[in-house]
Amino acid sequence: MIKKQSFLKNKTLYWMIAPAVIYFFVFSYLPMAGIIIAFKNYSYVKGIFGSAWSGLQNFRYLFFTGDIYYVTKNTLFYNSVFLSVNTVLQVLVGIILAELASKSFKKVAQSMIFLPYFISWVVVGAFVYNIFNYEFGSLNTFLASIGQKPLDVYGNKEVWKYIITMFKSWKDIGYGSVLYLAAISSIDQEMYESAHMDGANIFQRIRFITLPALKPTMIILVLLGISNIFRGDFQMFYNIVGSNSLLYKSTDVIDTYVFRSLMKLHDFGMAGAAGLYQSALCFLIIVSVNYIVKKSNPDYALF
Amino acid sequence: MLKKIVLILLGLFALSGLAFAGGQNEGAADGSGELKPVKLKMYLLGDKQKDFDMVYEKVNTKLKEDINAELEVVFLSWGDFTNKYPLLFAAGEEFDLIYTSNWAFYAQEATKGGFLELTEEMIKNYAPRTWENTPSSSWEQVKINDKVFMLPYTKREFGHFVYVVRGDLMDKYGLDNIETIDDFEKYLDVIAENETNMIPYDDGSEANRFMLPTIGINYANDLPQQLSNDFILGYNVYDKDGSVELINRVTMPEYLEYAEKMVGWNAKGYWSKNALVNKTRSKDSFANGKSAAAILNLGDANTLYMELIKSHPEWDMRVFDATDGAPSMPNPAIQNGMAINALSKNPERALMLLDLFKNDREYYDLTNYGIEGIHYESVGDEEFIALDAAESFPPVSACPWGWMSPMERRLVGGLPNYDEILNNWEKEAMTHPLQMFNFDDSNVKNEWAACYNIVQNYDSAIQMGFGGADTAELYNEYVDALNKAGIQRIMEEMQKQVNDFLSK
Repeated sequence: MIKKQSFLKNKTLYWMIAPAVIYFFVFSYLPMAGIIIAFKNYSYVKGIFGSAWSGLQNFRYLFFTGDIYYVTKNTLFYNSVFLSVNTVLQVLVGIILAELASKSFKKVAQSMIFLPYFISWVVVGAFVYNIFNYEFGSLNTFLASIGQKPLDVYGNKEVWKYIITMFKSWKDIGYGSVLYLAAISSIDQEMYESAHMDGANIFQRIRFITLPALKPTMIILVLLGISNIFRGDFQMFYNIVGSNSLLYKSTDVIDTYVFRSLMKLHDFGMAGAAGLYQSALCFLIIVSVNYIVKKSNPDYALF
Repeated sequence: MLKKIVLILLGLFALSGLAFAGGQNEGAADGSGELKPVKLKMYLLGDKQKDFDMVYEKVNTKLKEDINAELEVVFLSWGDFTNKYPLLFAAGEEFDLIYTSNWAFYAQEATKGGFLELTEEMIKNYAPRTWENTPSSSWEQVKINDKVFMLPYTKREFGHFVYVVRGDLMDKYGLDNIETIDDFEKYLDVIAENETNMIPYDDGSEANRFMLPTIGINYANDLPQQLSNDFILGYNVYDKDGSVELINRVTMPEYLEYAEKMVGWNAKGYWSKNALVNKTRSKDSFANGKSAAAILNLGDANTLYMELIKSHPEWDMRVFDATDGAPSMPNPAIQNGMAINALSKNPERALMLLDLFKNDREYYDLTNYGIEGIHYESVGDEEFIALDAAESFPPVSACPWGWMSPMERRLVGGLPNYDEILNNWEKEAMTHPLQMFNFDDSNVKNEWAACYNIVQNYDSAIQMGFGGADTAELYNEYVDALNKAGIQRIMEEMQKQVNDFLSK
């Protein structure tokens, strides 16, 4: 009875949430039944449910060579680096933009920083190639013009960690900093004014007002980031590393590894197995991190 | 009266979608004016040419007259045909004709029941000229489980490679011939030393394997393309006692020898330091004047020659056989072909269309070379000249490969030594004993996936000499990784199936 009343009372709200509920039900919950494809010897003719069971056969290629451990490690490593570097830079840029006095400059700067977000990785991959190409790249052309020796970037395994992180930040800073900028603009201006009266300088204001106020946003964004920590950014690695097999050991993430293994086989079951492996890891990590957050401060937890 | 019976019978075929024919030859030949109008849908591979619609409008006008059919063509682009092709069948899409080949799902779809079986009766009735013009050995070659599913490729062709070099530079540095890989090395060497603004041979990550045939691990060792797991497995054709023993090429001493030679080539700068990520084909680099050599198949080299003779006659492009005297193998009859969808409603009309495309001069010329006077000018029955508009419909490019036949015309003004090279290959030609062998990978899928990954990790880097001083170490790592990933199991399984196949 009470439930019905509450439904009637909040009718509009329920209607508003309905599209989202339907969307997730249709595109995220219904397809979950397809998980069983990872345990099947899938054939088009028999379909997902008609195909024969194959037990854990489809998972074998991931584990029996032991490669999955280093690709999982790489995935975790890169995503942790991206998450921490990006969070720091995004907060920093958000604060700088907020503190800037000139409104027009702020707008222009914001758009410029945001722009790379819309550039496809395919195009970024072409940038990278044209910058670091040994014979014709802009970097070496520039070095030659000032009388320096050319750099063999493609032959150097060590620098690619930094190049990849750099491009990832370059692309993602704009998006995140806007989220933080929005959070900053919702901070009560009176706090800043009274701090100013008490003689706090700009760094003290940032340290004691802005940063604590951003904490909840930061935690939520980091938690969301962690939930995808075992999913490699396929597009980025595929387009920046490309076919440079010398880098595979240090840049292979789960997604690129699986792509290369199965490119010729077209086996849906084995691809499904890799997907399930990632999902299971992501699920575990988000549940445990969320649990820890909840323990220390229930207000910040996702669920 | 007879005509009426024929018409009724044809109508029945159309309705049932089954095609059992019984000697109604005339129906196809002269009763066409009274055929029921049908629409045919055909899938081809590649990207649609600019003038494609213009050309096929002509084709359609003729088809309407001849067999009262209207043809719609859909292209599956190179980028994603490997995904889309099987999906057409998986989704039960209704269409009539599709291009197929040993590298485009022929065996897979035929065994899965995607293609319609073409019985002798059907072919004799609806494609009589094709039946007459195709040698029986070609029909044998396209058989899968004793059934024919495609009209075979009847053009004799070799997929071997040639060295493409600049004549002006050869003259400049006093080189007069390239016969072996060492001659090629000498050429690259003088370029690297003297033409510092050029990359001697702008190899890309996809092209390095072309070097293998030049050192004795040659084409003849390849298993049919889709089985070779990207060139790890081969077999020794030089054992002529009839047995076919599989070998892991990576463990052949020649492989390491080759790898070490390439370290030298790499160090001397024969190709770019970023060759591993280079996506430009060596052909394009050569055509742009950025590099001094390319390795291409003969047909490709011929087309390039014709382009360059116009734009850069001073380069004096020359071509030399790169097979180094190894046995050559003509492309098999399943290299290119057309199949009919099992779900086609008008298989007999589709066959009639193919018969026209394959054997009728006018259809053949239209679909291969475009419109006479706009795209090409014919010279006799065997040659043609490409006109300027050929850019919008390049000769033999709009995927007519499925119905190519000895009616092919040759471009006037092609390579002067084209015939010489071809004749040499023809002399050495042998038939691949495993041409029709199909590997069933279901027992070794996991090993296959693991090995395939490893090949991509090491093979290009080693073959292009990027291992540097550590090549031997990298090579050992490669062999170990392959062993760990179960290459042995794949070979045992494949050998077992090969033995079964040969004993049949």
